[in-house]
Amino acid sequence: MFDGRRIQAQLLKGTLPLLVLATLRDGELHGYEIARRIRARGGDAFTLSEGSLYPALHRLETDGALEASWRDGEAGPRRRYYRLTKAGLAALERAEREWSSFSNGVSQVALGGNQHG
Amino acid sequence: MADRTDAWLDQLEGALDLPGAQRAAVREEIGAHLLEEQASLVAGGLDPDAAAAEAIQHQGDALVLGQALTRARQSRRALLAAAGAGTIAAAGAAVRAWILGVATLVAILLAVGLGAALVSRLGTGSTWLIEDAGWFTAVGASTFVVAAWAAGRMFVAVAARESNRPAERVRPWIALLGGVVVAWLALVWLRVPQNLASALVLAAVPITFSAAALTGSDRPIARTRLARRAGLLLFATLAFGLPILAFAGTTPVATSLSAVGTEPYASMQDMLRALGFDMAGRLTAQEPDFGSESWSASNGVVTVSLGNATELTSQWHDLRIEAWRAILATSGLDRSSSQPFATATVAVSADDALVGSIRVDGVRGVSQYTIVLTGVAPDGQREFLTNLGGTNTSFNGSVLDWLRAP
Repeated sequence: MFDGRRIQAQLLKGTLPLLVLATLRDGELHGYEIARRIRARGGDAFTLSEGSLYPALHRLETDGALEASWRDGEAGPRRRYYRLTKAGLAALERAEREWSSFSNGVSQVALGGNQHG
Repeated sequence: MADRTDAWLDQLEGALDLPGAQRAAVREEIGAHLLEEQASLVAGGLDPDAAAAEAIQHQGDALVLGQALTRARQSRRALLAAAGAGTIAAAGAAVRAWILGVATLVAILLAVGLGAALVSRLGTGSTWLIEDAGWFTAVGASTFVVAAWAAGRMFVAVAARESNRPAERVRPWIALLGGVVVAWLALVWLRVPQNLASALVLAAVPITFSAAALTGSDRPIARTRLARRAGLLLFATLAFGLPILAFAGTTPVATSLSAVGTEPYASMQDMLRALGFDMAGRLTAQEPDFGSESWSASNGVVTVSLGNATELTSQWHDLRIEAWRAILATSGLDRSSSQPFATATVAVSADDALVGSIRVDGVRGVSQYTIVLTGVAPDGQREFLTNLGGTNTSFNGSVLDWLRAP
């Protein structure tokens, strides 16, 4: 009845763009580094599927929220770096507000008991 | 380790329904990710083979990832943007190619003109006259063929890139829809002097566009140094050649109005009889006195005005002006024609003049004409009343008009 993994996967799918945009607020990063930082910050709360990271990055780029450029790596192959655009920053702020409101609501219902006004 | 990773990346690249350059970029990007992750796993104690396998496992199924990446990059909005960007880029490419085509043409015409001048000076001193303006259309339209080729190639390259779709996906649509638009422009909308050669060259324009689109690639079109130098050379030719053609050239088509002369004949009737003018009717016994007569030609329409209308209409009815094929070089009529190629009725104006107008640029193969007035005598026989004169003309209209024309 209650499949925690499934719920986590669904939640992650819906919030991956927010996670990516929030991570890129630090500055330009390439895909591997974005994945590493999301994993480091998320801890054990969720498991990032790397297979879903690149489609999310490319969709955000196509939508104009991100810009990408190639840069030579210090050692090894060149990397594709992503950075937030103005539209991306606005989308991030909007997504943060929505997530905050949503997660508060879920918490109120699931954890807080009767909170109806 | 590398074999396993390469095989997975090959699978991923094969699943991407994107332009070639984007497929390669995605492969490079995710390949770099895999290498870094493998290095990290090896540093953490895994052996290289196990690290490669785990890094690949983290990315999941290559086919699923390829399809997800394709969906992520392709959207309806991108498709619409691609149509707009493709159209603008194709128009720009067409203009640039057309200018290069014109420059090439000017260079060729200068060379031909110089050769002709030398031959003329060394030989008989005769001049060449191109009387059928359709040839100028044919030569000029050859630059449209060059432009159509460049437009077709550019459209595919830009539309594929902007829509994030491989060239194979966009080619048929561009060839079909773009071909229809180009065909409409070249065959229906463009109204110019025509002959068989111009109709064939203009028909080649949409065919060339579609052929270029169908063979187009999604690779960016690079400008080589040789192409840039050739372009500069042609622009220089254009800059110097056009003024030379404009100021030193001669008018290639005789445009002055000229009456069909009567000399050395005593009268028009004698001349017409001598020429064997075989009209459906007879020559009038006595050419009427029109008092005043004038005619002018503009944009393929000849307007005629003859005086003494009341007197004329009392002797003849069903008066009309007729356009006949002529051979102006010999001041004569084209004896191969036994009937006019166009006719028009005349009306009596307030100032007692017979006025009428007739179109002389709507029949294929007519390059020179003369205008005559005829009327039906009381005995019911149509009579030739006078010959007003003639000049050069050419079929004017679209290719479609040319095909429909008599």
